[in-house]
Amino acid sequence: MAIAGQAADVFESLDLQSLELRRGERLMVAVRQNKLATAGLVVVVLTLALSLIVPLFYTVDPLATHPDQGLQAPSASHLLGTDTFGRDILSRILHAARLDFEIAFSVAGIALIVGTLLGGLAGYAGGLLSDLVMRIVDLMLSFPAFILALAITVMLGNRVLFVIAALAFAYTPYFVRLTRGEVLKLRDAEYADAARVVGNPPWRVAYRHVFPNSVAPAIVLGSIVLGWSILDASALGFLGIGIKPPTPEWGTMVADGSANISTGQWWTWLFPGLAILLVVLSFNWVGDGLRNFLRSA
Amino acid sequence: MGEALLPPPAVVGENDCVGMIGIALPRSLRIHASAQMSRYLARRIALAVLTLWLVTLAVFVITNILPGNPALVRLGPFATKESLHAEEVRMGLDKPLQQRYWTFLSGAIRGDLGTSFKTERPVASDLGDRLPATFELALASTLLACLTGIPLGFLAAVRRNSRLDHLVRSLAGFSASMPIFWLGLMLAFVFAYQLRWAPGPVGRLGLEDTPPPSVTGLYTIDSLLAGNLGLFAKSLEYLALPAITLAIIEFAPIAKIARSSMLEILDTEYVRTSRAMGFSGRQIFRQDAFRNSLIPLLTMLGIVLGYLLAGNVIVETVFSWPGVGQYAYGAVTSNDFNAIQGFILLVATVYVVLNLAIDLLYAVIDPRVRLG
Repeated sequence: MAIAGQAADVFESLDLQSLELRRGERLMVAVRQNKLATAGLVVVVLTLALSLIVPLFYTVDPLATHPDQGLQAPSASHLLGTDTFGRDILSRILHAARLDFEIAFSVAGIALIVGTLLGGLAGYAGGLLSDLVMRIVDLMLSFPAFILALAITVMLGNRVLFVIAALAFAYTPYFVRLTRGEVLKLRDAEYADAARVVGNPPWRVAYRHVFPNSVAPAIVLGSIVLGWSILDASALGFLGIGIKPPTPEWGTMVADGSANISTGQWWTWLFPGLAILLVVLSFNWVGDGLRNFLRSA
Repeated sequence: MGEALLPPPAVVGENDCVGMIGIALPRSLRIHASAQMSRYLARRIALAVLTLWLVTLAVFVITNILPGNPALVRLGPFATKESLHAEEVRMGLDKPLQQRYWTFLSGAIRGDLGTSFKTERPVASDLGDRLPATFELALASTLLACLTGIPLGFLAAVRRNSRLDHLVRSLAGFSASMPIFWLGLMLAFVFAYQLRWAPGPVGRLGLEDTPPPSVTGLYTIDSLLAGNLGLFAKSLEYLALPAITLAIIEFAPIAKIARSSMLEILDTEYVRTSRAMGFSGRQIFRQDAFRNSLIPLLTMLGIVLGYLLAGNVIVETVFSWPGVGQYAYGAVTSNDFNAIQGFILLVATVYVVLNLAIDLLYAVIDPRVRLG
């Protein structure tokens, strides 16, 4: 559920530039000054590790139904309780984490790579093709990304691959626009001119000097898009057009649990939603920290 | 740089100095300005029409050219070849693409969005009936978010790095990371089912209540017009939880942009000059800062309002709010293609018209736009 403009404050500054430090020392300063970012990174890594390791010895099948054990409150045998079908919620949340991370990293990865390449080319080359790309980007940005992804997913059908494709497609324009702006700015930077003056061919100036330096903001946006795509994928799941049940997915789990809201079994929907909140918050914190660090580097 | 992803806010022309002080322009210049203004207007409207046309093209591509046969999706995977063909003919899918697009486009221009398979009524009148409910929810939530987000964002900027600043920023961080469907469920669970302060998520009014006679279609306003205070209070109760849910999500971008635009302005030379001239903080806010911070805020408001149409699909579903979002949800889950197309076109139209209105407001707020 991303609002484009949230990216507006992706680039706030932190006064690390003024400190004359080596990269390693700057990293330490950045870590110390960005407790939230560090905490976010820890949560992301921990969740990822838990979702990979815990199922190895917490061997409760996330799909196994036990009609006689339905809707049990959290207890020693089911730490986070069970859902209507008696499935263990902890196990489902951990298995869902893998899927949600898979979606998030694929979406952000595809959008980042395609978006920065297109944006870089559009910015560096200019011309008619560039104009065409930017008009399409403007058109796509003038439309809520979630609705775009929703329409595409409905048409293609609800499979993980299509959810990833739809979200990646909807988020690519953000990267195109960001990188193009950055390249346009850096193309005329003094060091690019200097590189040209000493006789570097244009492709080398672009490849060695302009492009690497214009990717930094896109990486920051990428970490934020990680969070957005989890929000969007789970929202699609909640609406029943994302991931098909019984595959565990956080949004779908919240949707399943919402049937119990009037009867008071809060654990069926509270915990999966909490997982989303925690992970998205962490990605956003990491993004903030990354921004500060890249600003200083 | 900060607004890298936002549409360019204002055209900064050479006559920067005509800024905020409000210099009275000589008559000849004013006429010149109005000619400029109408040219600006014409260009913006032409651009809006072009965008809308491109959107119809995009909607058509999504529903007709992407792999995925609407007839097949509608009938399910076990449809026989004959029934599939019959459905394709019925839906007009056997005709050539250009002809289908022309039918779609000319219909959309006339306001004919086809018939919903599910309700078997014209999509346009379905959407029209449901628009007031969505509008009421959007209005209430945006009002709430602005009334809290803008003052808090400004205050956070003025007292940078204070405890209040940190509080506002972490609140915004949480609200930006919140899955909106889960937030809605939480609020409904706590305030409707546990504390019983608000009615359950059953729509705009309870079953036993009769809606007020329709004037604006907004229950809160119509009940006031009818002089029925009891009904007004009731419709407010039903409106409260969904509106608060949306407002919490809207709070993040509004508070953030209010804060960052105010920070930027407090750092400009004209504010420093005003300070040096001995104006008080309040005077500086009124003369320099407030009006200048409105442009980024307006831009953000346009984005947020457009987003609301997406957020509405979820919030209206959670709270059984009978608006266009809930209609879209129903259309999506029953593969009601005309209804989906209609909803997307509606979202696009609202978005384009909103952005047009905001661009025109720029010109009202910032003389540089109409003179530039």
